[in-house]
Amino acid sequence: MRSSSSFKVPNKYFKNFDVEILEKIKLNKNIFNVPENYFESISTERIIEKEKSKTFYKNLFITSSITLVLIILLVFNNFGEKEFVDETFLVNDILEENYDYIGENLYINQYSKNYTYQNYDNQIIMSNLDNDFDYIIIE
Amino acid sequence: MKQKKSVVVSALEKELIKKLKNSKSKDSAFRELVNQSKKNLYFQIRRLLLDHEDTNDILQNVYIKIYRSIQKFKEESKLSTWMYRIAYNESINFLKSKEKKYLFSSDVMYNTMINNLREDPYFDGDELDIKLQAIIAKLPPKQKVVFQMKYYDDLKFKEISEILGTSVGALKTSYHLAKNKIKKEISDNQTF
Repeated sequence: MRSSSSFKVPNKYFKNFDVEILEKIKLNKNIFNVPENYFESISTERIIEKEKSKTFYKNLFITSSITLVLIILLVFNNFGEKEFVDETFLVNDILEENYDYIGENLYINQYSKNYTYQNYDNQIIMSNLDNDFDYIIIE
Repeated sequence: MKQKKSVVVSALEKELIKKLKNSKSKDSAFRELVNQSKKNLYFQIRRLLLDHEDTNDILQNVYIKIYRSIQKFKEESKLSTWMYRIAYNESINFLKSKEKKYLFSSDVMYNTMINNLREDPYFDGDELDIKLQAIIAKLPPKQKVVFQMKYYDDLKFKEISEILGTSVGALKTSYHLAKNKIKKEISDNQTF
């Protein structure tokens, strides 16, 4: 019979081996209980639903934000300065009699704070100009 | 160039991971995953947190994280190892935030947790078990977790190393220190 001494074991391996085993058994005793049917009640549906509604609201938020930004840009674009004839340039031009707008389409920024405009049959009356002029009629 | 770790996983696990990463089969695969893993994860968390209600909250958070992050799972470890890591991180983060309520005094926090065990209807242990839990609770965090994973969960050091991101050598040292500390406390209390 082959001698078991051909196998080596770590030093003092068998010392207190029985105590170690008993300790392990004691330590492995399950002391933590759970409420009845706890594991059966763990619902994946709630987790999935929660995640899906979170994704939904996140997407809704992103879409709404983008839409809002686009709306703001659109509004500012509409109310912003258009490439119309600058009224200062127009007035100066009129004063210097350097203009010839007869027969041409004249677009004037109607939202300018400094001037009011009235269009009567191709006559455009600009009023509230600078201090020296009450109005100018452009025909 | 970092070599991708190769992990030996069963065909069943590979199939499950594939389903989890597919948006069409994700939900049903997730249900399967939860059914397979809920008890193991629950007790892993419970041994750290001791209280059932806290464990329930963290377990829910862990599964939410798993559901959310499964696409990012690189398959460099087993699925169970990855899930354990999430559970461990969530539990430790919870304990850290709980410690803040005790003005960073972990001793006071653990003493309170151990005292609460006596009143806990879901704790089925005697005074001896309470003392044992008190000894384990007061171990330094790494020693405590290594001890629990090795002794209760029977994980190999290599697996624990993947979960905690610590070398096997360091884990063996932590485990050895934890075991000796527990043995000493136990024999000082003449529990065996």
